Amino acid sequence: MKCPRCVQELHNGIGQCPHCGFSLAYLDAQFGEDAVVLERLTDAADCIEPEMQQRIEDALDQFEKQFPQLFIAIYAGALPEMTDIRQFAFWLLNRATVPSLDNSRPNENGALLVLDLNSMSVSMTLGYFIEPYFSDHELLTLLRQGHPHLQDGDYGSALLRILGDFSKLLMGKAKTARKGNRRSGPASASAGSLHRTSPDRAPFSEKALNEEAASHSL
Amino acid sequence: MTWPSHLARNHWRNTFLAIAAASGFTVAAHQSSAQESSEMPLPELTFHNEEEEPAIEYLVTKPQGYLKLPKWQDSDRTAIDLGQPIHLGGGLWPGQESLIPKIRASFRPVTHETSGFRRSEDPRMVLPDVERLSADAIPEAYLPYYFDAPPKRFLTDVQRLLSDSEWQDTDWFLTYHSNECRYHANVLLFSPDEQIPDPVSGEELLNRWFPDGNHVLVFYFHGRPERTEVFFPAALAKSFPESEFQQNLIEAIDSASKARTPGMQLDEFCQKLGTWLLWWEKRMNTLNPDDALNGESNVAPLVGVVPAGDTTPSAGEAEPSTGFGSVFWGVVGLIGLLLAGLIIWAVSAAFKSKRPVTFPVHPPTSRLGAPHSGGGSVVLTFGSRP
Repeated sequence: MKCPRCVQELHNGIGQCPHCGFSLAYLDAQFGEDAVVLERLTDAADCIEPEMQQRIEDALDQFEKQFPQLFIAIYAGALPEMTDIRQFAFWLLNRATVPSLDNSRPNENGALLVLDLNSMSVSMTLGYFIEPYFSDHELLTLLRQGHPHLQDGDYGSALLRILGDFSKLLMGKAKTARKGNRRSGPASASAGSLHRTSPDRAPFSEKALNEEAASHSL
Repeated sequence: MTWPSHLARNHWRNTFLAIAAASGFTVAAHQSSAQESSEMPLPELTFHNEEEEPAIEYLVTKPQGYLKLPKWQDSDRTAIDLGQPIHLGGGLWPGQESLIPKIRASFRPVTHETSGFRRSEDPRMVLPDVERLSADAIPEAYLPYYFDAPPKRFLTDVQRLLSDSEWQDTDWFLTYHSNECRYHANVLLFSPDEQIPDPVSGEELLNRWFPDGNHVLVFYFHGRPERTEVFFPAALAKSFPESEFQQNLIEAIDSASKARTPGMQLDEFCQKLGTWLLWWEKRMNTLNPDDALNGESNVAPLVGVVPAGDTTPSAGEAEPSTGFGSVFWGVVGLIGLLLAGLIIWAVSAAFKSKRPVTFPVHPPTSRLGAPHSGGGSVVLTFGSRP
């Protein structure tokens, strides 16, 4: 993983970035340390048509039905000037509470899509649970699927496209993870954990990531 | 024809006159004292036809003798009544021969020269009607024509059971087949219920008539192909198992039984038999090339006899299985299995796609003091607002 501020590789378990000293506390001071309420789809910039919003809600329902452990939250807004979308998304996923979700879907099981119309950028931030299954390259490729719609200003279609592709990607990841779990067995699987994740695995390749995800599975 | 000498100096004028002269006209020009001058005006030309015979009159008068319409002659009517060919066009074009004799003339030499088998000039013998004592006995008057001498044609229809066209078609095919195949099929045609007399033996006839071993003798009963008896030469019979002959004959008879008329049944049977003979010949050449070259063979024991009543499968009896049928049903079964597997796979895939998908659970490890996400994210900038 990379530091949201200096984008340097990070080890697991560290309290702050060894390169720039960044931590969540830095963002708490900027955005606040209290929990904020976040709907699954928040259109603060009013940039998505109501019909498209309904389609996105339906897609989110389908996603949660297909993946009972996971959720996706979407925030579309115009962030203040000089606000880094990567840092904002990092803070939001850690401090937000999504009321419509039950306890089986904690924030670490979520993915947050942030659309900033001020900087004309979109970000995808993953929680700890699904983060090991994806490389930066895969996530970037995923966002690029919605790039044509984003350029056309059709943000709803872009989000729908990204949601659909993310679901397909997760299907493959889950299949690979289950196979790896069966191969390694419960005893060896219990020894694996995210603690073994290290910056040494970069640059990411899908094969290496799958192997790692399999070794990490319980 | 006179040519003014001064025209040689005037090119275009000279050309014009040359064309006129080549057309058969005489050119007369008035000569003057200014002939030698290059500025001389055009001569006055007069044209006339030397032969003085208008072309249109020539076309009308000359062929009058050839345009007389034909008339039917008494001999034509007699020939028609007798079924004999007459001149096509009724003599409209004198000297032209009928097309029908030409076809026959080209047909017969092929038969004589290429088959190496002596043939009668008149293929269809005309025998007097005889009194038939019983349906299952061949009239004695016909026996010599059947069994005394080798058949003149490949299809012997002593009793005229076939119409002329039926006989001609089948005989033509057998003759054609004899030119293509080493083994010639000789068919003796009998009435449906006639029995072959006791002293007559198909083996003996084949040995006596065709000692070269290149002939197959067939006793065919008009309208009852299931009674067919076929006799093969020894060299051929020894090369393949008897069951193979039996099976092929049964197939030929079965195919013939499906034809609508007795004549078509015979034709179908002969075609099937010819096909098998060609196939056996090819296999013989593969098995014994030397024998195929010299064509020698001695006696011909009875090999392929289909006894009366044994060949037609009864209603409850299963038809003999063929290699093609087995392969066909095998392919059909294989395709069915593949389709069934494909359907099962598609249903299973559709069912799996709707099942909830879960990931293995593992304990999270925090980074940067963050409880839920350690900053795993990517950012894509999509440019300016449209």
